[in-house]
Amino acid sequence: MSAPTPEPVAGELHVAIDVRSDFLSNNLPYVVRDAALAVVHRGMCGSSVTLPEGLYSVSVLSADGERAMELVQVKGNETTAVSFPDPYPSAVEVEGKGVTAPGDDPLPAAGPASLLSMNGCATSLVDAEGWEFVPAEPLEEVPWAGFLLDGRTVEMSLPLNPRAAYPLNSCRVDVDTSGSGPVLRMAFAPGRLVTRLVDGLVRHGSETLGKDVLEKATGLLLEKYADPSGAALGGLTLHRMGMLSGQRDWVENLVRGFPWLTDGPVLLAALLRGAEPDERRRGFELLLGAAQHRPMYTDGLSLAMDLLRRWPKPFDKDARDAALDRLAGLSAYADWGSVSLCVDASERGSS
Amino acid sequence: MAVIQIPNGATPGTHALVIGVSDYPFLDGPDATEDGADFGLSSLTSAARSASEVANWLLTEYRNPAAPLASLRVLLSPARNESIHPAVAAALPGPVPATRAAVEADLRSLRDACRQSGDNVCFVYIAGHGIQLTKRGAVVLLHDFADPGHLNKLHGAIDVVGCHDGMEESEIAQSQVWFSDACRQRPDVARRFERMEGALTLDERLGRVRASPLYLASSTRESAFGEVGGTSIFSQALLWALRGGGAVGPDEHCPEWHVSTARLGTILFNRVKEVAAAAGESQLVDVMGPQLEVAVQRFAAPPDVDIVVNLRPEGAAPGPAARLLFNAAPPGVDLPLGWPVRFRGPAGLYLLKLLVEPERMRILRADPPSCTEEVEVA
Repeated sequence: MSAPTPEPVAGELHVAIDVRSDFLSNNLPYVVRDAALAVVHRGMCGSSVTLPEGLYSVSVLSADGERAMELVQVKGNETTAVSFPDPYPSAVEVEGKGVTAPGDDPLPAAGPASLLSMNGCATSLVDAEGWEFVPAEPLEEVPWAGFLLDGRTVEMSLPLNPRAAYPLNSCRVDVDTSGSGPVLRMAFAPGRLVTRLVDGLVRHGSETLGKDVLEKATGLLLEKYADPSGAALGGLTLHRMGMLSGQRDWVENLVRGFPWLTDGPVLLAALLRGAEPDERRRGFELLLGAAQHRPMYTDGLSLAMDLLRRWPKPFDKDARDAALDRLAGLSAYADWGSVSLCVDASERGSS
Repeated sequence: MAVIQIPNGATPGTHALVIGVSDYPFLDGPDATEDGADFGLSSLTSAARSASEVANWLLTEYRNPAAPLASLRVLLSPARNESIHPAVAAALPGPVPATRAAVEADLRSLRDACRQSGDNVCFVYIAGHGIQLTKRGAVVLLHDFADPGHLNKLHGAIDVVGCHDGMEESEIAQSQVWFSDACRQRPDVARRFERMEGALTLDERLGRVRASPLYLASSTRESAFGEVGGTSIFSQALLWALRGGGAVGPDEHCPEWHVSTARLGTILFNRVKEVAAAAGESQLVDVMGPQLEVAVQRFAAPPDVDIVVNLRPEGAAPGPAARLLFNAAPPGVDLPLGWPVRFRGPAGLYLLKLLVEPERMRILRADPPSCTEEVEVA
């Protein structure tokens, strides 16, 4: 008779993430895989799990939307703690330096680009890499700025947050020269942590991995009226993943509370497209209205055009075609790699 | 129709449609029409080849015990000097150009097959000239685009998003995966298509499917479709992932090693972007549609991994002996002396012990297809 197999000895694994947000520190998901790389546990950061001793891989969706991983050895009767670092350790919230309002002269330059114009915004900081923008009150349209970049005129929508005080109301635009030619890239203010998570999921193609936290984050951004620009980005991403259909009230609030935000009516039109005829007519009107204005996000523009192309009949075809033409004038010259809408206005003008 | 029937086609099974269009006779060459030539587009060099590689993968490597390959529809329009995969060519009855009529017939046949069971799986890959103007659109030009016999200019094109959305209904394959590998046009060309109607699409139906991610790749230049006889950047990344580069271990969605839709999303996003950037190009992959986790490919056994461990500083002499322990369980494997250490073994977590005083240890995660690590000695 063989000796009985000894009971595996268990140890505890505690997973935490260092991030200055209660929401994120308790809602970012982690996955534990055993030595054969099979999933043995899923949890939320800040929690523990008991596991047989052995080697484990712990991966977490980090606050910047990227996946981070640690390898650990869990030993029997011991607690092994894994702590993932803050992805934004140097994200110091700075004081604004001398706000430059639209019309001030001269507008500042950064690297190979210079700022040509500002609409609904002002600069709060300029350095060698780029500009930091804050909203001008009250907002009546999506704020945007015009730049001279490598001899081209480029217009970029700016996802600012008029609901917050500086620096949480701001975003940065930097000149990225790492590719074949300089491009503009927008970054949300370091303190807009939940919005940065939503943005990071989109930038890193991690929407599917983070779909649960994306849904919660988007709701949080709107329910507390914390950051409508971030909520709109989350809403667009949820819609793209087929996850917005149950959020009609939420989207109605976005439209009602922030009429300057073009992407809101586009999202609501998307939800009304499959509704009863009266509701559908309202959706079409919302869409036509939105097409008169600049969207905040590249994906908002894409959704608006897609809806116009596929709107169920009957509808006013002339109005639809005019709206589609207007948006095509933006889309054809848009930088698809930019999350916020960025359009080459010089090319558009010359076509 | 060009349906490759699979012997003993299973129910539920996987039903696939693969389309690759390189040759555009009415845009380019002696048969070009005035309308076609006016667009300034030329034939591509490797879209058909890319599609045939995907078709061959389905025929020879695709594995899904829950829904084995049951039928495969292939439509290919190769360019003059472009060869398609020989195994696919042999399985087809002859030339199968991807005309509007042929695509329409195959799409109908695909939908009928997918409606036979909700447990069926639907797989669609389409490559060719794309004319989308947005991140959410994908209209791909077919072989007979600009045929003077067509009543409207976009008749010889397929609206991939429209077809994808039209395949969302309650009584159909609930697991679908769609790929659109399209070459994006210059703005002045793309704008001319914006209000055109008539591309092949499907009526929208009631209901949703459980999972139907649509991976939309759009390159900024035709060079993303590679050299003549080569394959597109996107198809290379896709097949690399499906052949094991994107494999993940068992989880609650699949009890075997597999390539999941979520993993495919991040891999295609990153790999296509990197490869395109290295070539000085820009190519993005966007994902749309219901994205519940689905295993796109399953593996019968955990894949083996080539593990290489480099010693730092390089040339440290004498290099210590090393032992590799799967899950840190003794006795482990004594590795051959000499650095870098090379070992081929099952994917998983290993404890690498350097047999020096004091003993040094390092945990390695060996993910397929290969793993390269560095260890430092004082």
